[in-house]
Amino acid sequence: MRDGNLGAGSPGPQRLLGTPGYLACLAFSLAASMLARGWGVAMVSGLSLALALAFYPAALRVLAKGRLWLLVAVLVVPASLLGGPPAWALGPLALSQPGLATGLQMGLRALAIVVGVAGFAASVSLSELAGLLERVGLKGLGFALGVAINVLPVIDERATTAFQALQLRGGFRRQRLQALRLLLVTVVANSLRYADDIVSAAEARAFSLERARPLPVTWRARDLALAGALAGATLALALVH
Amino acid sequence: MRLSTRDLVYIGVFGALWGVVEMTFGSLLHALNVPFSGAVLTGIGMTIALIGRLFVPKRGSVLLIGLVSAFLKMFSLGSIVVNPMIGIVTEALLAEIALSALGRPRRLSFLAAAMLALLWTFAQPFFTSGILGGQGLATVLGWTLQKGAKALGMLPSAVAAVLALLIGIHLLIGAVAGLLAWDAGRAVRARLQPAEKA
Repeated sequence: MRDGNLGAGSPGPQRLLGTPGYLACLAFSLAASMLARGWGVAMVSGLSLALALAFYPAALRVLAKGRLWLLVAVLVVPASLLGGPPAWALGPLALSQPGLATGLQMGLRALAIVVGVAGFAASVSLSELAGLLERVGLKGLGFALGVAINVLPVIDERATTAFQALQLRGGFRRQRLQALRLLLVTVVANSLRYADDIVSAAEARAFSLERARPLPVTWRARDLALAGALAGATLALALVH
Repeated sequence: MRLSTRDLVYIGVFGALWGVVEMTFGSLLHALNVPFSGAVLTGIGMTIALIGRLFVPKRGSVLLIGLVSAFLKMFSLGSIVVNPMIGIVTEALLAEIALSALGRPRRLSFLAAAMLALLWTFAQPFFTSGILGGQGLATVLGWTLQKGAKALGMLPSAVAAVLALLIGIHLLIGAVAGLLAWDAGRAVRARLQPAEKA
């Protein structure tokens, strides 16, 4: 599990927006889908999909996942069956018109949120997010996230080694719970030993969080205009309802 | 809350540990459709976060560990991660509130923190689907009873018994997580101490 796997998009010329632009799109998808009422949700969902098509088409791959449509079905089907007086018959099933409308609106809301989150995750790397957090004053969180990204492959490797060592020594044949506890203690202790190495390296270089330069954040000229337009649209939605 | 470089590195490492569990073990449990997989996953995550509290005994450390883990989960290769993210952050927040209210790390505070976090695992669908999703609390209660009754081999009509058992199981997993965190955390400390002295 490397950074590349975790955040597919890395800063580069092929990106149409900078990190703040993608953040604005995510904020719009979340806020507008929560604020929209009735069929306004369809408009928000359409806008979210249009944003994805224009700026982060990789997010649309989420639409091919069966789990997403299962989630939508879970929202739509029970509401259609139990959401009010039956209006239509579909074989043995009686469908309710207001129930179907409510279910579809919930499904569209879920779609807007999922595409927004998937788009942000596919376009902004974790290192950029750490940089963004550092720049907005959350230096500690940004630094800790940066450390987490870098230690992930090491932890993964050490946990696998510890598991295999325990297994080879027959650790899981008897007293499995005891073996699991031992595995936990070993993995945490090994990870902390590695953490101590990071701290020693940082101290040897006289690293100080206060004086550290934040990780770079990519900007594009259109970020501000897009953020303004999306903020305006969200505000309009809030005022309408 | 002033955190040193060491504290932040430890928070990053414990966040990564929780993140690894969520990304690997979590996907496996959900794929196998194991009953109470969410609660088991929260129990493991809480155990890691609470061990983290032993090594960073400062206010906010568990919440920060949860935030790091939630960000890692968001950027993992999974597809729909909104609910787990809400879950991780809220569980960490609740555990943090319990730990901060009960003072310095103790067995009792670990127990209370993990049990409170596990209660959220039970309550989350009511919040996300019932309130945010607009399905209504009664609908979610119906699903919960049906799913719970199936997992427990009971009739959904035994509403009070099913609910009590579901809450009890979540609290039990929380209690095990809290006690394991206290015990394993001390074992880790004992294991690292000779190295620290040397």
